[in-house]
Amino acid sequence: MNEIVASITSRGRVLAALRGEPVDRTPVVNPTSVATVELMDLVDAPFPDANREPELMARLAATGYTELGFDTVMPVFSIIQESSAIGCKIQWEQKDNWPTVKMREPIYETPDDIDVPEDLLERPDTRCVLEAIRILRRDLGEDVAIIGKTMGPWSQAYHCFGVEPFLLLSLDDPNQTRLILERFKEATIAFGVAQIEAGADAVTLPDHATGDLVSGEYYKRYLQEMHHEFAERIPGPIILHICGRTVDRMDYIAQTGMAAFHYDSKNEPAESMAIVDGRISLVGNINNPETLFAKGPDEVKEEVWKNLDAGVQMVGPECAIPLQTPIENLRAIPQAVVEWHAAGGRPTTASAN
Amino acid sequence: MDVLGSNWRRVELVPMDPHCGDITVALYRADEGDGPVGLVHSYSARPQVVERLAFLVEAMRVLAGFEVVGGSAAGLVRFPCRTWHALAARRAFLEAAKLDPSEPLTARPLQVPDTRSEQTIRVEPLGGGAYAVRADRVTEDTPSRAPAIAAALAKLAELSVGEAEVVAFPCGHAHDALVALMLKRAQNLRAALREEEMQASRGVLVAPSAQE
Amino acid sequence: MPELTEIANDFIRQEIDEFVERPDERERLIGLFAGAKPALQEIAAALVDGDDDTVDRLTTNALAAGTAALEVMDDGLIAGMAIVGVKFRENFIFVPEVLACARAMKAGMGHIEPILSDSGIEPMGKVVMGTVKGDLHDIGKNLCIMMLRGSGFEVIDLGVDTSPDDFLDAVEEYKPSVVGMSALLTTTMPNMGKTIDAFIDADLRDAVKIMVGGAPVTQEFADDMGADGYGKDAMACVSLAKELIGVETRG
Repeated sequence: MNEIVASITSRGRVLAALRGEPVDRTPVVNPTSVATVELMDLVDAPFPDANREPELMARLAATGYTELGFDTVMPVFSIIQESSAIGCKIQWEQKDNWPTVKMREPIYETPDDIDVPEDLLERPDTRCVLEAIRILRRDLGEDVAIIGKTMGPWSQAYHCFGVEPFLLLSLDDPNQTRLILERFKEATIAFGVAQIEAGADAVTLPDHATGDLVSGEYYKRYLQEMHHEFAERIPGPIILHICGRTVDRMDYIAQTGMAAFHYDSKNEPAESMAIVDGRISLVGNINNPETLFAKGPDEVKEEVWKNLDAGVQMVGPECAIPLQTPIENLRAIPQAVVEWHAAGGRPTTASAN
Repeated sequence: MDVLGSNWRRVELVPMDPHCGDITVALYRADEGDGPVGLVHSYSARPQVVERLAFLVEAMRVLAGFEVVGGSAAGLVRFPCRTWHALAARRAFLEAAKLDPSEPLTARPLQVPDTRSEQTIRVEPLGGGAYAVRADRVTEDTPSRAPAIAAALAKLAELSVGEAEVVAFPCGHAHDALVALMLKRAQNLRAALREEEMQASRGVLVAPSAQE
Repeated sequence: MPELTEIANDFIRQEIDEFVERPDERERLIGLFAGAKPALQEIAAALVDGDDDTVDRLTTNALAAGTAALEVMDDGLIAGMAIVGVKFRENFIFVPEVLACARAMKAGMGHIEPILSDSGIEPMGKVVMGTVKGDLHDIGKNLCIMMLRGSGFEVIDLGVDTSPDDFLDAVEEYKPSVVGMSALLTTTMPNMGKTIDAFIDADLRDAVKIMVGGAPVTQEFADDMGADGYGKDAMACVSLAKELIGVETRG
């Protein structure tokens, strides 16, 4: 368990946890979206506009801190910004659904097709994020941590080439695959750097080389070195996000020098902590579809406590939450953290009430 | 507007209300001293919201037999039996939210024509929360739809099913309006469940590796 | 009972020895390959290796040499896929490798299917296949469909994320003998049970036989859900479909 220090701000405790330093209590962190349709109504910032207009994006993101009690705000709700800027076709949807890249209509077939525009950061959807970060820092001051998001090259390749074509290429032609990753890498770095410069304290880096699809050796072969490069070149803490089963690659991830790994509920907290062995912090791993969406605060608290019992350094949902998640379940996360620390460990029924 | 207190649990949500500018409207529940109470609520502060919520409260009273607690502006409703019928409450709220507010509110009758079989389905209150489902004009070529509809009613409202197509509320109290409301949906259980499913799957983000 | 050493092809022998651990599966595959022509074992080996060009060439050769299309399919392509299925389930290989093997299978089937279609044989039966609600994985389902079609079934593919209602609509429209449901996620497996319940509610349960499959699915789960059958891999799916419609199976 982290050493306990005197009370500090939300931002202070998040930065400390990312550096592996002592904190007053475990921070509640959302490397991915905690937007819900009810929060959209609360601040009148509905999707899809809240994904495209900086003021709405910032207003909705702020509710994570002001209404839910998290220690972070994260304005990049979806994963389409770079792909939209590059020219992928986007399905924007309505208030109650996520914008997605139309991966069945990929825009690239070979590495030579890749054309990351020089004005990537000036395109509407990337510029929106940078502006939203500035608004959040202006409006919320220095007390809360702002997390940005920049998509990794593996995920960008899925978006631009299609998932199955890219996976087949990764087997048929490793050299072409590496070339594709190299060409997308600069977009990852540029967008990450810009967000830190705009005021973000850290960036989430989703790169979906998930165990549900590819082996741990694939991660090592194609991404580990590149992720190490990201840790060197992006001037702020990076939280790597990979969905699905990932225990077989956590050892490799722990060697990259990134600050934290955002892991999902398919992996056990204690086992995950044992594998990373203090070389990287963990963030997670409360289940979304079964617990946060479908169950109640008591079940949420149980998953929070399981993470705290294992010594996980930052607690939060495992991934972007379903948009219909009840607010009371999200508020239960920081409540559970406070109860755990107040009880000096897992609360009994009496100490939790 | 403040977020609701931690004593409230959300029971059902309409994420985009087509009758009120796509606002969210929700039914919450809390357990008070004299029994469970529901709250019809929206986080939207748009001007039309107050009127819309008042309509939903009134619709739940007229259509499903809820009691209104403290005036319609408070948004509070409860079952007259002072217990909570979870699935029925969700169903009643969803049905109320579908209604066109410009149409007058009228309670449904305890009988419906069944177009599939050309029978008339009647539900007879037997007292003590029990109801018998009957079908008229049953022929050799068109067997009675009453058993299927009784089973569907039981599924929609968590009722027990006894002999001879008798269904019953576990609380032992009459809920005529609620049964009448469910009756139409019971004629096409598939459509009712399909609607619930589609609703629940909206807004779930999947990783690019798992998207269609 | 045939022995591993009776399998002529070195690669196939090594694959079974190294990757097929369950005794019943080992016995089945050894029996199958021990009795298969060497040329067809070569096809299976190339398929397991994900080499679509070689599968294409060897399939053409086998057919030209007079081997029956059904035998080439069963003992070359489907048998090879059985090994792939085991390796994938046990996490020896992952999706990229399976995609390559599926591509090789498709290359072989490109020569087989026209022959089977032209043979004038009536479809053995009609099957509706889909991946259940909430699940977007379809490789396993697509392999099963390929093999079912190759075996003479007419297959209606409902795709992924198939709701109970979609299955019901399809049964009412196409009147199949069998419905096949696939799930690759433990979180979506319960939707198999929900679909079966929906069939009961709609009074259509007796109208079809329902089979289930997918990496996390087990016989026990299938029995609990009320399915009529469980197929552990694409090859078993074909035997099961035949069994469910009352056709005698080879071997």
